[in-house]
Amino acid sequence: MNERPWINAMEGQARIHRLGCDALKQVPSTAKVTDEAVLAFQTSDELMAYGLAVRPAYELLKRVLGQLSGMMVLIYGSRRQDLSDLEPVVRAGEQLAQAHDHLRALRVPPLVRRHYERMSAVAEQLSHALDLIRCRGVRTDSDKERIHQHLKTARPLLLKASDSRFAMTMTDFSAACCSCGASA
Amino acid sequence: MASYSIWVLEYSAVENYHKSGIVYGAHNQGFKKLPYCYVVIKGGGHVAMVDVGYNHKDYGKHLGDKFGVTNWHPPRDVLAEVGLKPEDVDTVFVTHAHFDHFGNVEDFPNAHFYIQEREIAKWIWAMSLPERMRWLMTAMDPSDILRGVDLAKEGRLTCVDGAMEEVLPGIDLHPAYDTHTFGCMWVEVRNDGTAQSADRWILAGDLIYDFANLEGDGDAVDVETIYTPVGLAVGSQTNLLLATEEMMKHVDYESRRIIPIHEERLKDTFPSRISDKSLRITEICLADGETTKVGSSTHSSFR
Repeated sequence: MNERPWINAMEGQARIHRLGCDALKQVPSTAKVTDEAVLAFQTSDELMAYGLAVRPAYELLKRVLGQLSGMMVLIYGSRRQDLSDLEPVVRAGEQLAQAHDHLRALRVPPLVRRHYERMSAVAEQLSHALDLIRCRGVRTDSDKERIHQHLKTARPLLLKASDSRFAMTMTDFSAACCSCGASA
Repeated sequence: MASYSIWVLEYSAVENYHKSGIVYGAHNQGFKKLPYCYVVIKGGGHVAMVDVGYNHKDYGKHLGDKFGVTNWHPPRDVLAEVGLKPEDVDTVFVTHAHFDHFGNVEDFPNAHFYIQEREIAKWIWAMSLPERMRWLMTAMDPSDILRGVDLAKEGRLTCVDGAMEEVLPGIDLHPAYDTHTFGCMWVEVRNDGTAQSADRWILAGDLIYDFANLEGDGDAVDVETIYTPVGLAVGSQTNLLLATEEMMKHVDYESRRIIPIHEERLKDTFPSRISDKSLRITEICLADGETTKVGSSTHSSFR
């Protein structure tokens, strides 16, 4: 029976991190996880409950990432520097607060701890980006660069947290050009 | 005289797509192949594209498993069929921000992109709405918008506000707001370069999916054909019909000059061939001096 302490139950496979990967700075779980335990967990009510409960937070974070990215496209593509009073900024702030609330309220099984940490990291990155927009109004190139970096850090984490079993996908294909009536 | 060659290049396909998704109201009328394509416009020292497809790395498995999207190939393989490389592309016109049109910008490192500002602004608005209104976010990937930030930061993305003439010589952009998406646009090629060109081609994006959208059956109202809009619209079918009429006016109601990229039957109207990867290359027109990429046709009937 192999011990696989780095297992990610939402992905169902072990990962080897490259040198310099940020994940290596995190303290690994000391729990010893067996293949049998992972297999059992994949079909457990506990995982289903977590997947369903975390989805609203995922949706909110995805929306905030999209909104802030869209704002940055408009900032780089126009002369407007101050977006802090715009309705979408206010709404993104509300959605982000809701996402934080969802995450705080979650019951997190040990085997999905890493998934939860990714989601929390996304929320943190987006909060940093939104704070810069709200407080400073994106006045300098340095502000723009910092916001952009936060968004670029958040995106792959959110992508990794995606799981189609729980309809957590970056794109909703349910009525897309490719859809054959199935739901995404 | 023709300034540009135009090719429609298939990069993937859905083999069995329900007709009701293509033509508004065509329920229970079966399925047909829906090719995924982009357009290459080459001439005057430029290589331009209309849309860039999607990134298989992010979506491929999900699209294949869930929706039967098959046979995806990267731009390097697809463009090679007309003797080009992704690095050759200097201009990209993004008709709208759906994943299968705007989802692969990173494969074109030397291109300058054009998209309607309203397309971005309204997607921001749609993403700010409550979850019960998520239908408005259909086929939209926030990752694509974030990649748009990279382009904008590098000065490689222009957000167009309305119509724009002569983006390249003889090429104009036209908005079609609140139609298939909030800020759709179509691309017009005046291929003799004149303002009153008699040799115009329109690349319609998803404003037209199929010839039936241009020439639907008019029996029910005792006319030969009627416009029938595409099914999917976050705007309105009224606006789609008005955009169709505007495009038809520009080509003097010669419907074959409006190119629907998802239309498998382009092969019946224009010369084409199938590549060794089972992808279709359709040749809409050839610039003076350009050699055919599909065979021996002279295109004389299309000039």
